[in-house]
Amino acid sequence: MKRRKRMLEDLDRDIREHIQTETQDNIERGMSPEEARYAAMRKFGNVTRVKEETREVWSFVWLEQLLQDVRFALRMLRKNPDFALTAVLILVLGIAANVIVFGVLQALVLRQLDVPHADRVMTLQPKEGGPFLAYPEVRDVPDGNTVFSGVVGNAFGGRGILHVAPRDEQVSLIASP
Amino acid sequence: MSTKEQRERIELLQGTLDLLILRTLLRGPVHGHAIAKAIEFDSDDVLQVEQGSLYPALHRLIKRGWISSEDGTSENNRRAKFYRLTPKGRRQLALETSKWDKLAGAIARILRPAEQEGES
Repeated sequence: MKRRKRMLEDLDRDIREHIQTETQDNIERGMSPEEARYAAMRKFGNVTRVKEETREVWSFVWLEQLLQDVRFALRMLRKNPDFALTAVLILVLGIAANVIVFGVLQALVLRQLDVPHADRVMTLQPKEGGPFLAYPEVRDVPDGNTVFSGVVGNAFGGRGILHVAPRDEQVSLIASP
Repeated sequence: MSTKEQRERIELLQGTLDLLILRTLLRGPVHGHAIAKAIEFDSDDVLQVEQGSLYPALHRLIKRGWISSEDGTSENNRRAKFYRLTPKGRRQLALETSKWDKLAGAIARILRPAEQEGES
């Protein structure tokens, strides 16, 4: 960004020269020096704004403004500790609630079982009615089963494995507590 | 100059200044003030350039690589920055010119029927 620096250093001089040249032109057109300079300035417009806009062409204005905003935010938080504390507390509660809900969801739904080929473990549930099978039904499943290597039932309430019926020895399921 | 100011001077449309600068530089490298003068002169003083707005535009064009700048001496022996069209800028000028022609043509086609209605 050397070019940027050089361009901006020259800008002041260029603007000065510009206004002087315009002033000179105006004098040659018959204006008084004072009038000529005033007219030149008016024609050029707002010098400060021009410089600012030119600088913006080269700078990462958004980054500078972002830093300003961050600094301002930190300053205001330090100035109002009560507000800062409230904000932090709200954030903590909000984030904690989300973490807990997600943790439960992950443990129950998203996490795969800790067994070999966990992606091939399926949940059986009846087509109609509730999501649970009665114990005799669970026992019936392995009998006519040609699809699954084994079937495992688990008592709702977590009292452990009710029924294990591996079709062959390839897969043995171990229910995690 | 001031006589025309109230009558016929038109503010430049957004985005057209870049095009006019590129076109002005086609005739050879000049300094900032001369660009402003050239635009005013070539448009018979109809186009009003707020001269200061040239500079952000010039820097923008330099950043895009369409023009380059070098130090030189102006006609009244002052040090000044001279701006020069680059090959890339020349291509851009051709592109922008054809775009402008299309735009101007399209707007004219839309406006012309309205004009005729007004006359009749």
